[in-house]
Amino acid sequence: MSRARPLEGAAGLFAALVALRLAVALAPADPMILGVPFGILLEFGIIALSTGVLAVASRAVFTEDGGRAGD
Amino acid sequence: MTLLVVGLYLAIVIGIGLAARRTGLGEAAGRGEGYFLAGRSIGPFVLLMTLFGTNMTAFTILGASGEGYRQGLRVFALMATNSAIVIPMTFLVIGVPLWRLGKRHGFATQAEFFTARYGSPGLGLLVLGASLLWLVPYMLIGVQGGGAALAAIVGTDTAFPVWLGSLAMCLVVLGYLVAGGMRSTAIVNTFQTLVFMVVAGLAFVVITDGLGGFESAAGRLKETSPELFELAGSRRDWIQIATYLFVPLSTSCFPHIFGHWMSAKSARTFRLSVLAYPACIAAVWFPCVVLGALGRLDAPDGASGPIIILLIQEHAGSLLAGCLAAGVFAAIMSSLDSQTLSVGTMMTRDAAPRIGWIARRVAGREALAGRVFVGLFLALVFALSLVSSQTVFSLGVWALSGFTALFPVLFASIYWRRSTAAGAAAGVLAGLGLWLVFFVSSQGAPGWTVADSGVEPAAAIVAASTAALVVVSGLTRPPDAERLRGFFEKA
Repeated sequence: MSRARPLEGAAGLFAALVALRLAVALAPADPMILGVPFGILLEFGIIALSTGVLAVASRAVFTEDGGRAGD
Repeated sequence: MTLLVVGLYLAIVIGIGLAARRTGLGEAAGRGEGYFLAGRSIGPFVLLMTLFGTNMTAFTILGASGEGYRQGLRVFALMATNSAIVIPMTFLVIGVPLWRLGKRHGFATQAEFFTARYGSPGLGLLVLGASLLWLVPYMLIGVQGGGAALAAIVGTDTAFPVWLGSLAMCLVVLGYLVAGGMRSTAIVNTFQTLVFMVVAGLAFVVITDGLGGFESAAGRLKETSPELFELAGSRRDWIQIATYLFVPLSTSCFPHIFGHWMSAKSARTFRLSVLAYPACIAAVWFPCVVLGALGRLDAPDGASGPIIILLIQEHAGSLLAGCLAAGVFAAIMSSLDSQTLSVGTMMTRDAAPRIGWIARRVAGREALAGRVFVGLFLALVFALSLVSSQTVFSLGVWALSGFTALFPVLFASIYWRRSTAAGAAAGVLAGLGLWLVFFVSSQGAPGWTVADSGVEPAAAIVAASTAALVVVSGLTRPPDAERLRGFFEKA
């Protein structure tokens, strides 16, 4: 596998996350769950997902350099 | 009681700042790197807390709740979620490579980086000038906001002058900045960040309890003001949420964030900041925005002051009011110290060496010079906060959009070998020019969007800066291969 692959994969995931984020912004308030609107719950989902994407991206960044000197 | 809590808090902060100095590294090494960058020794947890704390200003506690009161929960989608997606990604794709280049070449400021990367001292000066143009008014908002917040919080018991709160804040910051530079800043920021995270949570629990419980209060608010629960109630709202994704790009262009990045111990130190940042944003923004919206239950027809302060006065005692004041101070000081230190670093390393008689005095005594510049600059900011006009404060509100003008150039400097000094200068100038046009057209009004379409000014500024960078780079001679080697080849 080429070295650039993990980074390209992470960039693709990030683009998908942004697209999903834009879709979620259209979510309705109902139903309310424990007082929290549905749309806000989905926003939390996006934040959790972004952490996942960041985990993949950071793995790609630190794998790509193969644990370089100076780190 | 409120003033007692605030006084105690400030005493603790200065104590921590002075104690942190004792663990400082040799300041003489590397042109004051011990003072300006804590000897590039900051570990993962302190880096996370200091990056997060630096980005959280008084706006997070007072402004976010105020916007929640006016616009409802869409503020969370607009500002918090977008920041949670974009900011940590910039730590990874901009911060990590910059840290490596900074370590290799000894950079402490953005101007040093741009000067070396493009072989253009003029570009370095341009970036320095633009950064100061946006940073100084941004700092004024903090200094004035802290004093005003304290005056509002204690105002029910006694008349407390705004300037006194601002002065107390500046003196405390000055004390630990002069004592320990970046090391004290980082350690104090860690404490302050934890304080305002706890205060935000505490305020949420106490106030929602006072409102009859969160679920019940939210249910009542939904009946009276259902529009506060919508994310994008119109096409314009959706466009604003979409284009607001460009605003957090400004974070990677702040000179004080550059300084914090450079202070990291290793590239891997960034990992915790990247992964935990989204959760930190959610933990602070959610209570602040929700409390603001719930404020409509107590003040349906408008609040005379910051809504969060009104809620505290209504539902909590003076102890929590004091904690809130401490939280506001924590949020402001954790930004003000980093910003002041970054100006001290820029003046010492970018500006002073260009002025002959100052350069001769500073050479070899950078840490001392940095302390002098920090003191002078903080005194200047405090003085300006007493006399500033509304225009200056509007400039501060617009600073975030301005900083995004630097993003395309910063990105290209790391990833695009073909970008040239002329292209980079054109990118900065195009962004700066458009920012000025927007600023004048809007008369500095916050929340202004391009032609009232919902398009955030930052999105247009990034587009203009990118276009100028690409076109002018394409039209000018490719950069010297020898120079590029130091920036694109692995050490």
